[in-house]
Amino acid sequence: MNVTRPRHQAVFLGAGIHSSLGNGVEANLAALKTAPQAPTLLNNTVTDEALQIPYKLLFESPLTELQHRLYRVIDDVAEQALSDAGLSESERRNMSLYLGSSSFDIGVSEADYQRQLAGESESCKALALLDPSMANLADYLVGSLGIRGEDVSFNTACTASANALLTAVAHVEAGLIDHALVVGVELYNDVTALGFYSLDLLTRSVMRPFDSARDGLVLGEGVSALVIGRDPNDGRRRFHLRGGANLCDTYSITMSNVDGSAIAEVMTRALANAGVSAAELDVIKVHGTASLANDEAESVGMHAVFSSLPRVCALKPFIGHTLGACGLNELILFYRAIEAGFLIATPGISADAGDLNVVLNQRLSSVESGCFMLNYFGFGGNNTSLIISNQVSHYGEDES
Amino acid sequence: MTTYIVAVGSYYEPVGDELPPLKKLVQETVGSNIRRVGRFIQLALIGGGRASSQLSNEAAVYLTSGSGDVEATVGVLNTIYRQAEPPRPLSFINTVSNAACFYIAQSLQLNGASSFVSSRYFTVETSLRVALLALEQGQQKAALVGAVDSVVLPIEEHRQRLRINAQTDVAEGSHWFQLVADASDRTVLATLDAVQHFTDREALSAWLAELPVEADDCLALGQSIESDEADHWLVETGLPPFNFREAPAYFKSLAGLVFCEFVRRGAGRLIYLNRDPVGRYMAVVISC
Repeated sequence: MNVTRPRHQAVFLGAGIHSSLGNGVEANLAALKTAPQAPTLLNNTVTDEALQIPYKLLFESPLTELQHRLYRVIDDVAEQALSDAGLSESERRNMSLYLGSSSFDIGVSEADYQRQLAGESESCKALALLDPSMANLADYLVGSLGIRGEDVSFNTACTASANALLTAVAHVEAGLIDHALVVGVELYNDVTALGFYSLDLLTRSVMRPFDSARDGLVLGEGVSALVIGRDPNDGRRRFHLRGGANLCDTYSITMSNVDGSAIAEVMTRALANAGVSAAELDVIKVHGTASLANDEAESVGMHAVFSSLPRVCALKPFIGHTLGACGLNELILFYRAIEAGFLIATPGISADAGDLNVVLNQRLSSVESGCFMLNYFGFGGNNTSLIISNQVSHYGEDES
Repeated sequence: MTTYIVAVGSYYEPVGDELPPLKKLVQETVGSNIRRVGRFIQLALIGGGRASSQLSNEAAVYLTSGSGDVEATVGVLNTIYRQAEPPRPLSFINTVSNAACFYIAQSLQLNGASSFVSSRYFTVETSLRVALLALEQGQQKAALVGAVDSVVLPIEEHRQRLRINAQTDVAEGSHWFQLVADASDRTVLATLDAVQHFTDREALSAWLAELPVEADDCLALGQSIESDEADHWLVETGLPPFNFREAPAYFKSLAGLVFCEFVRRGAGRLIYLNRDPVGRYMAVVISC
């Protein structure tokens, strides 16, 4: 019953995204050509009338009717990706769903609990978290899109959607499915907002990863979707996941080991899995949370693997830290920017080597083809490194 | 290639008005007292620890749950909305489901991959499928795969939260499997032969029709299969049901208990089927 399946090249067929920069890939790419903006200061009066939490909220999507908002946004973004990929009704029906998030639909549970509390009495006690499952959101999408393939939800903090992508690609390449829809979701909720406030990790200004003046992160909302499928071999050069690795760093549940060893190890494993050397890599997209210790650990890890760093870029100054969705949000923005002819730049942020000896790309420049590393490091010591490429490959030969 | 089950570890305990203490069990299982963790993580440590004999430190951890760490999340929601205070940092961190994976990796000194994966109606099946494929494709050489569900008192609220009726007995469960791709130096308990997904009933029927039936095969049916449909599958397959104990108390990842009990019985082949409300199916095949 254990069968050897033929391996197929899986490529990125279509993408959709709604972030603080805009709704749709093109709107996001246009905003990426401008300077990163400071976050909105969101009044959160649940625990303190004067509390303001810096946030990058979804573009033109007010924080009202949270359940309706969540479902509307993920339906819309999934449709963007499916249309972009040109999947037929039959292909949509048979595809599988891989969803990564840190918070899933907790915002819906929060709103429900608040409604109950408002009407609570001796005889009718409010009950938090009714019908709990990490997969309720995926279950909604299965119904909404009429999916008959399988659904897998990943909750591994900031690496969730990157890990969803790793599994989705593996399933397509193994020939288990023809198409996978990978979704990353992170929308506003009080647990996340107040949790990060408690951790004292937030800044009110633009995030400045690796900069000597870095002072914390900004939370961001973002929903993205990516369709993976076999290469149609239609002559178009498409991006694909060339390799990757996920490892657990047991140093601390909240921060990476500052000696960089765990981060270096996951990058080294990803390179080996992709069959490329550090010298062959063209760009690194950093995780870059702009926190003092984690940027230090990431810097030490990178310098341990690369004798000299290739070009380095960061996405979080633009869209904030979108937590479990950042894996897919940042991958889509990164690869679509390169397809559109530019490498993302953050002028004025980590413009010189600074104390961490990392310089971020400062001006829009072109990159035609190559191998690119995208790094993600999350709570719970969950570290993931992806290698993507748009180089022509003959699967099973030079990239197997 | 073949995927081997070389160890299983389980914890199953029906729960009444009081929760059985776990601290001592955690200490006995992983050799140390893990402080400032809740019941969900304690259950994960007990089940995972019991399946960790000779575990490679490169083994991947795949954890699933029907409900997740309800205690941690409800605690944080009550801190925010009842006490009007921000959550404490560690309480917030522990709401992230892979916190349990972290503590397992730390306690068992693992440094491989780690994921919390879930599917609403196919919790255990999905975690086994993701792990099986990673082993078959050579991404992992060993994996610790487990399913954990805890109870949050009071028991009436727990039933209400899970939308089960007031007469249903409930339990806590933590069931784990150590899978390896190469069992040359290990005692093999069973093989995980297949974890298959089917788009509909016809696809499952077609697959079952091609499955060579053996004399000692038996059939187990998942929690989402109603009794009418259970009768249908017993007739269609012609297999005897796998009866391992009197009706177990309810928890969402009950399939983990079924698989552990079958492996412990140590004979025959188990064909397990489950469905979801839209009519998708999954099958798991385990041979001892």
